[in-house]
Amino acid sequence: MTLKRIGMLLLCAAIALFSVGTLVAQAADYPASDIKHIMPWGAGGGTDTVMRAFMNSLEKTLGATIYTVNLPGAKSGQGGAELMDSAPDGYTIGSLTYDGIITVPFFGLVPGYDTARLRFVGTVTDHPTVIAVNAKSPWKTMEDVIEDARKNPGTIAISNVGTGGVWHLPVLELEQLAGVTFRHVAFPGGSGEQREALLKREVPLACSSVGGIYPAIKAGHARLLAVMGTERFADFPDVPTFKELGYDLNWGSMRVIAVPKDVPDEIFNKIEAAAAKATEDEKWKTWLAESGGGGWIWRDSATTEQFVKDLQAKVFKLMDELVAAGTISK
Amino acid sequence: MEIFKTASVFLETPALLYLFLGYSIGFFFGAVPGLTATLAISLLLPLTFSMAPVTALVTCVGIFVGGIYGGSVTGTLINIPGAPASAITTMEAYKLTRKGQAARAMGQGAFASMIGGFIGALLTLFLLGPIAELSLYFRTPDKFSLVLMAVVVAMLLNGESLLKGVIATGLGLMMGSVGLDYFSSAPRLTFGLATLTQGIQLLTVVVGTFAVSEILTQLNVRSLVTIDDSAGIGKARMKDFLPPKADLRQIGPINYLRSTLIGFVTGILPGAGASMASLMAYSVAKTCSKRRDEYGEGSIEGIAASEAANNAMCPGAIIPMMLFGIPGDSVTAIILGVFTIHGLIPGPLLLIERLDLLGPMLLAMLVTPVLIFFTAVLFGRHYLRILKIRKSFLYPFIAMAALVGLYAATYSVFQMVMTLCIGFAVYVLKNEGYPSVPFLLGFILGPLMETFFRSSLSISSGDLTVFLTSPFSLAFLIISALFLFIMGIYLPRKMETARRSF
Amino acid sequence: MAVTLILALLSVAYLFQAWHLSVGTRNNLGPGAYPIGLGFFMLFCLGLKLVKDRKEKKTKTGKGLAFRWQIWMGLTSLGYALILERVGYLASTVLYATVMALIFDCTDSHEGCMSRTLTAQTVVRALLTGLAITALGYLLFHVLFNFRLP
Repeated sequence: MTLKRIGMLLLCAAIALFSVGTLVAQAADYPASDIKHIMPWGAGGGTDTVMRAFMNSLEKTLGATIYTVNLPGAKSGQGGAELMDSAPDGYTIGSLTYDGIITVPFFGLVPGYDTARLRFVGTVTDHPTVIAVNAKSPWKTMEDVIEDARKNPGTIAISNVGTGGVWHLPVLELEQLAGVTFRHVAFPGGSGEQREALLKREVPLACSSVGGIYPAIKAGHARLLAVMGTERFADFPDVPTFKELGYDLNWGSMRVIAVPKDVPDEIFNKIEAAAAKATEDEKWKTWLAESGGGGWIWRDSATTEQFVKDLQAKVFKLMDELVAAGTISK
Repeated sequence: MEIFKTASVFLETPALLYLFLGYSIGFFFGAVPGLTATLAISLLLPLTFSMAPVTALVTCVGIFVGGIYGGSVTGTLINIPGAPASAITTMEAYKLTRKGQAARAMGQGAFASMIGGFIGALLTLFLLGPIAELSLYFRTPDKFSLVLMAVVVAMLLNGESLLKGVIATGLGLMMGSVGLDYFSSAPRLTFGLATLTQGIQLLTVVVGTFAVSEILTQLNVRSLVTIDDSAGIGKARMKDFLPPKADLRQIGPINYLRSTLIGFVTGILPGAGASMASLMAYSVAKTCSKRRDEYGEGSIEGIAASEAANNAMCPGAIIPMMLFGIPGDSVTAIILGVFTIHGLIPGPLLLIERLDLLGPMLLAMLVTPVLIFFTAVLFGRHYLRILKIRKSFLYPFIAMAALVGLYAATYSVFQMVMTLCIGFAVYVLKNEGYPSVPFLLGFILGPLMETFFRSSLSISSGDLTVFLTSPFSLAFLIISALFLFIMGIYLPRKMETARRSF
Repeated sequence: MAVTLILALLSVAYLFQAWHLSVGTRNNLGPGAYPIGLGFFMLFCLGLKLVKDRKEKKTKTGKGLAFRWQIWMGLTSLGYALILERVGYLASTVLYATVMALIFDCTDSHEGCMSRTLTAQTVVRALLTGLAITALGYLLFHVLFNFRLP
């Protein structure tokens, strides 16, 4: 037998194996096997850590083992698309963040990606967006900043982590509402670079999430000026919301869980109930208390669906304006 | 020092075990010709996903150090350097082996490695803090100039031909820019392939560049017909591996220290690597030596200089990687991958915020060199057996581990296909004399360079002079220009005239 | 020479793609600025290389690139990458490792490869190697590091 012939034989064997179908488990006694959790961001990051901890609690309330698979890439679009394409049997659930809801569908980063192909189970965290300054900054309040910006339009710099991104758009809306203009500086390296720039006074202001700026506040390097939530943030009760200051800004970065659209209602309800119950879990609560930062909530499926729709309507409009103005290109 | 307080990790966890394990793996990969420590860490990279960060980092240190030393053992015994970094050591040590002094050569190699590695690690421990503090004054334009300097060094210090080094780096830079624009998240340069928007991951590039291309190369290499113990190392006694006093006196503390320093500084330079370190230390030692005639004929001084330097390089290379995300050589480039897998973003703040992880890693750098010496004394005479492993088992296993590892880490068939393509391309390019390390460095440094440049310009409102007015930035730019002049224009011209005068 | 040309072609394609991207303004550079600069830089370097290649053409005798087995290995690996997910780890890896062992056994032999016929003994040996590798991989990935293999 020559090597060539062996090769052909092996190829045939491969094809034979290839065509063997896999058995699909029935969904009546859900959950009957392990559940895959798709995490669209890298391991060890903020979202990964939080969601893994939450899944630990969900494991108990759902009564099945959940294993997390990190599928980063395309600004979380890769993992999201994988979730949309997986079988709607309840054995695959996924986490989504702001980028998965806004950035990926807006830019069409992944073909076939559409949040309408998902059914949202609920919201696990919602961190309000904040504006912070260096602790030694002469600006004491947000009003000081806005007044200064009125006098010097387009000169005061504020940092974000990406043009047209989650912490750039809120500032643009603030500009519209207050009739001022800032100079936007992007640090794609993340909130760590924002903190560094704030500390070295390269950029006097930073727009970030509470979580992103928290280490700098704790170290005494930075101070919060105002919060973009509907109410004051529990950990910083002295910091006013923008609404109190007369600017109706409501921005935050959230982490939601979702399943493919066609998951049967019976299974979906089981997951939603288990997730709601998981947020009550003592272990999860202690974990949250220890990791600090607050912003932990539970919003059920219906609220989350509505929330996502509203957010997309609001943000897509803003981003379309940005595209028209040539700030970003689609 | 705060770092020493983290030493308790070694008592509470099996970290020490992993260190030893990593050292053994690194040693093995270093010793077998065709396998390198770089390859070992690339294979391990996906596995670190499920390891605790401390164990992952400590294991990497073990592999790093073990790989450098392992290479010189093969060189000493059978005149084939196990890793490129041991070419210089091989030159001298094999001469001694031919004279029947293999144990003396190996013992001295291990001893010098220990001195170099240990002092290098001490230097790192004491310099890291001050450099981190200094780097807190680095603003974004300074960071850009620093990365630019790294790119320039990576381009110039590698490969047989200058132009090829530049092109290889450029290819890496090009590849690093494919995917999404970091600022606006818009897809770019995807050549019409939608899957490319998920970007090419560092892991994929590493596995392709070091594992796949190496296996392809090995298809052309036949294994040695027989490995005979002509040196008689199997009969050596433990005592023979201890360096005799006369040798130590001949080499002298100055040689050890000088070579260590040269290695350490070379390590800090991005892209220079262990080969450069040992070559430079060796040349300096030769120039300064009283017994210059021994060099090339089995000089114990030459072995000491070369080994002290290439081991001192490891801890040096860690510094720019930890503080700026700029890898000093190919192994640190992959350790950078381990950092990102565990969500550790290099920067001066990292050292303060995550000392619990970095402390043990730094301490491991201190411990491993000692391990080199003691294992060499204890097991030195068995080292030759490592080479007897069958190739038709080794390489299929490496191929499987590379592909399955990548799959386990990314769950993406696309990344597997991509890594094969990259591996094939690197194989072809390597065959044409293009170096692979600058390619990887370009891939890592490109995005940093672009983002720092763009951020700098938006901070300064588009004022380009910002790179010249900051003293740090200016200094880095001047150093880059000097490098460009010396390595790119002055030395080649001098060599050209030298060649003509023959 | 051929490689230089391919690289140059690649750079042109790269530059062409970059050309369509926005360059942005000076204080807010667009996604295109850096790639366009890089593309021109690469074309410049490759141009130099082409000139150098032509000069050295007469003196240089290339090593020659061995391809036959590399392509075999590449195809086998590609096949493995494609079937791993569907067939599952065990079956596909035994197959893959066996073929790889055969290839390496073959290229490593000193009699040369194509002339030699495969004896049952070599096949069995490769199969054993394949099984051993699969078992080792399973131990490493699944048992030791707790990865989920397909």
